[in-house]
Amino acid sequence: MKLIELMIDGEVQLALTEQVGADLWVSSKGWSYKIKNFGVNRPKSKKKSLVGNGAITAPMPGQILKILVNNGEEVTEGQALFIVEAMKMEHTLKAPYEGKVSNLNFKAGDSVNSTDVILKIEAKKENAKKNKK
Amino acid sequence: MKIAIANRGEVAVRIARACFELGHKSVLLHSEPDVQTIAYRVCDHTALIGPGPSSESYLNIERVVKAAVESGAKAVHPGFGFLSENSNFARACKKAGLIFIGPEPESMDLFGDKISAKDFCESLKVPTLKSYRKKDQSLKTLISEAKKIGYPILIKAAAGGGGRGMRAVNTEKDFESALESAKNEALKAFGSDQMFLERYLPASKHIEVQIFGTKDEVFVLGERECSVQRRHQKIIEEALSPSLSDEQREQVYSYARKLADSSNYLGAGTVEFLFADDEFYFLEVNTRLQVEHPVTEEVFDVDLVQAQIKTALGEKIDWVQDELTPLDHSIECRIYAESPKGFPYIGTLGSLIFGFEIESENIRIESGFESGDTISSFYDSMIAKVICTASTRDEVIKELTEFLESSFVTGIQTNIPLLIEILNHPEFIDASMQTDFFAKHFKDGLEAPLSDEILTQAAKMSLHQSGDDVLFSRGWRS
Repeated sequence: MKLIELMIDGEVQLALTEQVGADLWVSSKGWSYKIKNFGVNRPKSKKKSLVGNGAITAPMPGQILKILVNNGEEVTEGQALFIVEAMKMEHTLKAPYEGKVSNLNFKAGDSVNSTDVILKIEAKKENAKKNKK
Repeated sequence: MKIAIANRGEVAVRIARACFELGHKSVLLHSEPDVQTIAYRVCDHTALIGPGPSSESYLNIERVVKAAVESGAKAVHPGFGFLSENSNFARACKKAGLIFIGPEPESMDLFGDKISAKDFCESLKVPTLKSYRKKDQSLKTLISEAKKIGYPILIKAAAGGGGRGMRAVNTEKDFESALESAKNEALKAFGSDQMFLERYLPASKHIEVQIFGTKDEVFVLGERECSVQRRHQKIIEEALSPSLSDEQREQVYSYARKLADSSNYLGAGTVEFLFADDEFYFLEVNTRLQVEHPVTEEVFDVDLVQAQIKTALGEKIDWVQDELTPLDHSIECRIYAESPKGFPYIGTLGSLIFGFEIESENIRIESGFESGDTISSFYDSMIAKVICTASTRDEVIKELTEFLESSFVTGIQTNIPLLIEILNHPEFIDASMQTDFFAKHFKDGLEAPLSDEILTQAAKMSLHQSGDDVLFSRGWRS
């Protein structure tokens, strides 16, 4: 579970977000919301959720602050890839598993939306097998 | 000694705590789904009674008694609801050599039958609502008696309670169909379709008096007001009532005391009244501990559950009536697992965090569930109670509001936003609310303030944020 700050009508409101089963919940000011149609059934492990085509997207519409890796670079699990600024906060995206960076198409200063694929991580063959649970 | 708890949820935890404090061991008699509850984890021992459905577990006298006996328990606490007011259960316990922690079966029979209870009241000149309670159940008689009482009328089941087998009728032309409907429901719920008629007060205050009988005397521990109700289900209760003068208090206490003395009442009980136009009208006596007992405990600084156990075991309790003086004001909010429109919510609890980062000696929480526990469909949806006590009612309202607003719940929806709205409604603040308060102002439920857009952003932020999981510490007592 995570504690985040929401900006509502110019005021900061604390919210708790948590995965409960296959659903994502947000709770704030005593209210409890289930996020419907979020699109992806995300189990707790980030690893599992990003296996597939290895695409790393921007978490939300914002601006790329910094790209920290290059095309072809080998990265380890948890390594910081890029930083996006959105809702007045910085969000660092990390590598969900070990692999090689490819398809890096953006640079610092670019505006992005949440469907833009910033880069891809090609998993090593052994890793791909491990992650296919 | 070993005490068996024939109940569940927050009250099972409450009873277990009292057992522990008195040096007794607790055995939780539970159903299959209830292994995922706090009570299951805190009780010293557990004994399975049966599967989820109450009829096969908590309401099954044979199974409950058998489990209690086999567990080695010497006494049984029935909590509230379920078999707590069932004199057959009390007798079955006695027959099996178990001490029943509650009143004598005769008291349960006297007050459990709504008709005999009213007869008893009238014999003692305790005012009751005008009614017809005779055996002649012919339609002709009932219609003519209804006319004598005057509309609006309440058709009630003689063997009933909890709002079932009950119909309100506004005019004579609606009487016959309402009667049939009420009788069908009563027959199914209580096995008897004997009905009685009573004057209906659409708006009044619900005032109840806490009594406690020992072998030596009957104690009166003030009153509570429970006017915030939805379809006869209480949502918020408080002690003392902000609506009574001291004279009115003394009046209603004397009625309650008369009933308790004259019936040699033992143990905890509550005498319920409706209060309208300066008059009290007897409603019923609940021969058990009530859900809202904590507010009374807070203002009188007593432990009612400990007192119940001690009394049942023949031990003296050290109360002195003249020294039972109430201090401060206490309000309890019942937390229900339900949607903003008021429908029960079933699911797995993610987090249940009350009053995040609030440290307060004034807050007391009674909860039956923790993160990961399941709220099932078999039982009522009350999952916890939040009680706040402070020197003034306004302070309590303020503190409760802040506390509830700082609460996080995931996995299920709750009535917390509704409670916040109610607490801050002008009619609650000035204490003018009556039993029609909820229907007047909150019938349609609430609308969620956060848009889908904001929620989706929040969700995405949470998934991609590199922050750590948060650790919480509790800053209140329970």
